[in-house]
Amino acid sequence: MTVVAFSDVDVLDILVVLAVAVTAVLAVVIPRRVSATIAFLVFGLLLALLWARVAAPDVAIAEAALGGGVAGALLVDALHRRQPDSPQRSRRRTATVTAVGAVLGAVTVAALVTVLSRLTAEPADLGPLALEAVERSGVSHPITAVLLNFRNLDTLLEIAVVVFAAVGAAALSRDRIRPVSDPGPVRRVIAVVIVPALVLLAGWLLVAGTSEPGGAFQAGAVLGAALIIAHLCGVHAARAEGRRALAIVVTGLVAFIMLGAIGLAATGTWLALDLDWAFAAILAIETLLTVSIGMALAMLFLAAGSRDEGSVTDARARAAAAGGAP
Amino acid sequence: MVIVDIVVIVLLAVGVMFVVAGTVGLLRFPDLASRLHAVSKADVLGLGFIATALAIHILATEPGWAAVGVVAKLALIWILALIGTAANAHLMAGSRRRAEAERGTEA
Repeated sequence: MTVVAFSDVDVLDILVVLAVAVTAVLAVVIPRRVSATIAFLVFGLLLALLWARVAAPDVAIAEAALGGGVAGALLVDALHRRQPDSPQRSRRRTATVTAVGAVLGAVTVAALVTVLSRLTAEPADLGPLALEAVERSGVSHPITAVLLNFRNLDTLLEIAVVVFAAVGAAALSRDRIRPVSDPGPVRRVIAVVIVPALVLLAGWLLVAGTSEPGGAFQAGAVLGAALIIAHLCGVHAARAEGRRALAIVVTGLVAFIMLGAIGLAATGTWLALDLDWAFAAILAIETLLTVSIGMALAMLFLAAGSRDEGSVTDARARAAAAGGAP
Repeated sequence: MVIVDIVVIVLLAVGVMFVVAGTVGLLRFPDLASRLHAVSKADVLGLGFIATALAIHILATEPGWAAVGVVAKLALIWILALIGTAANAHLMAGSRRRAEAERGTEA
């Protein structure tokens, strides 16, 4: 890994850092959505440039693709849908959008060229290293060893993303999830037969993860499916909504962070596991994560299927009824 | 062994034939009811033949308790597919029927 010495920092770096800070503030402060969005997109591209400067080209490419590309497309699309155009303004807006697109495209190309010109380092071959160290990880399956021991910071952050997504979806769909009133005989049979089988399968996948392919993410996906089926069959005891469900989702993340703190106290390194209790710790955290991931996936599914009262179609219909007023 | 192999191959071929027939029906039949009829029955029957072939194969080649475990798993897979497919087809057909009744165009 290349370490950037302080003497390598030049005027350009300082300017980019300042510009990142300014665009970040602007993206939050500006009340006009179009300007805020543009500030956010410029922020993403400058951030990619900064990652390239600290010799992290893969992070830079990811930032340029996600922050500039995907997030940009989503934000511009959301802006476009939220603001029905009046005819006299649309021509000027088209010109503005074209100009903004051209500038952003040019900046993106410049950022990517900078990043690619720095791709010199040989990719590190970490596979053999991981296989060699498996016996010191507490579990016998190399993938579980990598996910829950060697690189468990990555897993922690992935869990955080899942939790935030579920919390956001739950906030947007509050109290609007359709209840199932009369499940009928067929769905009752499914609830009795399929749901316990899926829960059993999730438990098996979880335990198998220590020595075979499996683990918290696979078991969580199966558990999420079981929760969704239970909801659709009218089993109210397993409702994936409300504060209780949110608490269950957050528990996995909190427990993972606490495991990191325990590692810090016991071994002196954040998230490090001692071989004496690594197996127990991995199994315990995987169990909590399974429940957490399963509930989060079920919440996301149900939120996506909830009644969308503030939908764009409704907003457009109301705007049309009010005489085309924006 | 040769007889077992022939039986396994014949069962696999019959199973694949049913699955292909179900898929062709799903793609070619005109409305929801006939498509469900094709795919829910033929596919599960085909899966049953394939699972039976695999069970005979494992019992003949590696006899023992491990093979019995595999057979039990195959049986479980088939039973779950049977319940799942039948229930899904029933629910989809029922949902379509209610929607048509609400629109007053019940067939």
